[in-house]
Amino acid sequence: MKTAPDSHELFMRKHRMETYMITGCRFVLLFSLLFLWETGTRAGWLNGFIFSSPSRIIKTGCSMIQDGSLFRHVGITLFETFGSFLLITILSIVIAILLWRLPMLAKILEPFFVLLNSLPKSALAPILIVWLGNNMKTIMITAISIAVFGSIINLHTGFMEADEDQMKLIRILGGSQFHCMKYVMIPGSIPLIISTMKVNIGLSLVGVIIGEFLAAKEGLGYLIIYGSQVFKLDWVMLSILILCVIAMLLYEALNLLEKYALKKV
Amino acid sequence: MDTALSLKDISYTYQTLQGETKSLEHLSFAVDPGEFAAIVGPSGCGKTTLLNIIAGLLQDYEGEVRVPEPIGYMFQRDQLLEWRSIYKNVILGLEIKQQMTHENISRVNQMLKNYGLDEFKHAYPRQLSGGMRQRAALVRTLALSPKLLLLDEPFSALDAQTRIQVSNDIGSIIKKEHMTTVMVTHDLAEAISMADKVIVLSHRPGRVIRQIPISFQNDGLTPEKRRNQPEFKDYFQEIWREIHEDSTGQP
Repeated sequence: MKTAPDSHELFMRKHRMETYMITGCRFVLLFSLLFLWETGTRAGWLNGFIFSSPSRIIKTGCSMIQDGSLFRHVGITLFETFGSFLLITILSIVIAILLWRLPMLAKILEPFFVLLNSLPKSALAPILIVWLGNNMKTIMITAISIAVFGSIINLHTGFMEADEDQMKLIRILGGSQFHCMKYVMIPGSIPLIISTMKVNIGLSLVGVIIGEFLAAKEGLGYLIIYGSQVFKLDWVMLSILILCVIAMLLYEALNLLEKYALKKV
Repeated sequence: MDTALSLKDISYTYQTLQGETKSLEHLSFAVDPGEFAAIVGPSGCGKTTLLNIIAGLLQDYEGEVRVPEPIGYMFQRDQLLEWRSIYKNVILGLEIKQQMTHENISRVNQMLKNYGLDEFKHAYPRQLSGGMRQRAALVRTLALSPKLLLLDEPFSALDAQTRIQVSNDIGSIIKKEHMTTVMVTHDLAEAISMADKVIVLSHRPGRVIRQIPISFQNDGLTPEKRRNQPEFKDYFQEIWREIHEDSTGQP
């Protein structure tokens, strides 16, 4: 059987070609969009003052790197995002476990969680400013309020669906509710926890930007709002591009975590 | 000889919002030490309820149950935890009960060796065949040295061919370890090929209609060999008739 490896080799080559093609086309699409944007503003089809342009964005970026203000804004936004993401994750896991342990409490609270989850949380932001002030606390609590209720509902539903027979097994082996949680519920819910985290990281970023729109003196959200008010659209576009990059990196980071965690399952 | 397990006048009623369902009614039987009893009956006759009562998972029954401690329980599916290696799965009970002594661990290792699982100790359940998984589940159950083994249709999740092979496997192991065993099944052939005694339950509410001791002229046959003996067919017809008469109300 000498033909087998050859045909496989052929298949692999075709597969590689396809992968290269897809990656290539993505870059071509990205660069032609940037190119059109740049030439459009240079040729006067687009008003560079309103639409900015790649070269203006790079120039703005360079000068903001030089005076260090870019790192400050990005750093603040990242810090707030990670902070709220961490708090959302911890809070929702702890509360979901508590509700799992106390089904009666879960039943009583259910309509409240559903209500809080479907309420548009940005409506709360103005109240939060009044209550908590024009500061980072308000921003992070806005972000947390956006994601935490949905996250609790999701996790609790998943926890309740843990395998009945596996719980029975633990009880027959002499285990308590705590053992059920340690040996069955938590390890069985790892994929769910990670997929919930993936949703949460995106929502934290959304929440932080909304919060910064309303209550900040620093951060990318502040830069966007302030830039649009003083017609420095270069700042706005630069911030949006950086947000794109941040969102992608965060998502990829969680994908890596997922791959690592699911390898063990 | 003292009995290992005895049930006297057991009745159990399920409560739901729609009303109540009598599941078991004045059910009594006993199992001797080292004896293998199989419980058969039409579906919905409360077989699983009965096992749950013996296992101590249901408390609100009427009647008297005497059960030796500890008990082992095998499920319809092997219930191996996918995120733990085979070794970690079989020591689960020891870990929970904090009995990870040298003696227990070496006994578990010996069982893994005896039942051909030694080289798969560090593999994960999904890497094993259905038969091997069920054997691993048996080792996990035996690790706690149970005085009584409960089997809840333990082979029903396997395909027909594997099923005969695995029941042969597990049956031989149980015989060798002289375990007192109660198995619930709806497969009459499986019951006859493995058990020393077949207990026939009526349709709901379940009570014992017959207890049939199973003995083959040639003692000590494996379950697979039993299926080829002349007595096998007679037992099969006798039990089948009992169940049939009970469900139709006529001979």
